[in-house]
Amino acid sequence: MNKKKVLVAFIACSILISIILIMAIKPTIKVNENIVLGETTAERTKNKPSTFVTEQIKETAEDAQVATELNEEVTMKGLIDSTENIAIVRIISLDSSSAKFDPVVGNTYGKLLINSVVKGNLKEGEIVDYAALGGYLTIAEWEQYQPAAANEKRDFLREQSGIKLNKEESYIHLQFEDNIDVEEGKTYIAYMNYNSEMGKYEITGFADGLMELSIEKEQKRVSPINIDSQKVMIKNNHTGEYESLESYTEKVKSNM
Amino acid sequence: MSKIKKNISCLILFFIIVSISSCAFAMTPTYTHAIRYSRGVGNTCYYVDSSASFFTSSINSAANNWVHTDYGANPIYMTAVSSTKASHMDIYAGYLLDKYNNTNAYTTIWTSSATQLYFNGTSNYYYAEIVLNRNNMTANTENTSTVTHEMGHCFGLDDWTYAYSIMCSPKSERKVTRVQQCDNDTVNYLY
Repeated sequence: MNKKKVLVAFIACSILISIILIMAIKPTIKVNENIVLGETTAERTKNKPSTFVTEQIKETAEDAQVATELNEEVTMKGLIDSTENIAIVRIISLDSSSAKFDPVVGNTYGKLLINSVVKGNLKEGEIVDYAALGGYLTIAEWEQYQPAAANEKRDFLREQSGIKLNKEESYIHLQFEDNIDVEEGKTYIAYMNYNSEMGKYEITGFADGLMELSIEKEQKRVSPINIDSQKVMIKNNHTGEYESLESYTEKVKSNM
Repeated sequence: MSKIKKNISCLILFFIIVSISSCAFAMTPTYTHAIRYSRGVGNTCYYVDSSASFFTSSINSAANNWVHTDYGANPIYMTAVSSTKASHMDIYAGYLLDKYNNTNAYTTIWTSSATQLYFNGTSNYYYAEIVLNRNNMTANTENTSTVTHEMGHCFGLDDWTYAYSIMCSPKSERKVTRVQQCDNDTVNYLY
């Protein structure tokens, strides 16, 4: 009888110890370094850089450039005076494009984060909707706003060339000479005016109104960063030359 | 004496070689786009859209100026046509947005399969489109010089900062309103 009691006690203890051990050993979880434990999916993917411009669109789009005749040289002071907001911005997303408000080269729409403010009332850390000049538009979208005779000629020439084009799925990449496209995850200095008709901050100033900073493209989550303005460079879109951000912002402030 | 003669001959030869080299460099204009009309300019047909009818007189004057420059012959001949089907140059006009208030006009270039091209690309183009900004273009003389300048782009000439070329833009303070010797030379070089 005692032997039986001992055996039962031993088995019970074994089971108890096993249970305790099983509970103590946590399974190995592959934790993505981005994930903060306890973070929701929505929080984890917030401000992740994104774009509707796929690699396929970039490879297959017709590349087009527009040459303009300007009346007057654009001066920095003139541009600053005509701009409500100047800020260092980080592009979060490219969401869509349209030629509705600019039949010449169209607009690209998306969200950007205000990293720091040089002029105006925007707040650091604020996320706003923007409209940038040019970008990738479907041919159907762009041709909606072109002269009828010009569209008829294009259709005639395509037919003559044996080209059957799905205008809804074919893209044209439009931009003014020297202007640059916005890219998700990149950091720029941007001159912006609020356009109430669009309901967005319109990047103005052509090639002088959007200039890229020498900061690595954000791959994971766009958030405000500290920028060493002595080390970070800004690229002149006309000359391709770089100057320090510090030197550039000093020039801006002296012209304000 | 014969040594002196030899030295003088070498010096003369040297100057001749340098002069010929300089002429050769001077004859190659640097202010052209990399590309030009694939069909040449011997019969440049231009179409004036109804939207640009306000500028017809300026357009015709500009065309005439490229054909009859004051600086000798060039291969350009221009004819006004009423259809875009085979035209080389199509001219439209529109009231561009306020943000384009510093822009008089713009030009685009296209292939025979209606693909738009870059000006500094590698393929010649089949036709060009000029769009005139009705908000900016009011006075006749300036209209004609603007159209002449844009036609220059269609022929393959690039913008230039030399004030005495029709290809100098107003922002660089162009001083002339008609095709100049240097512009005519460039056309002859291209075609």
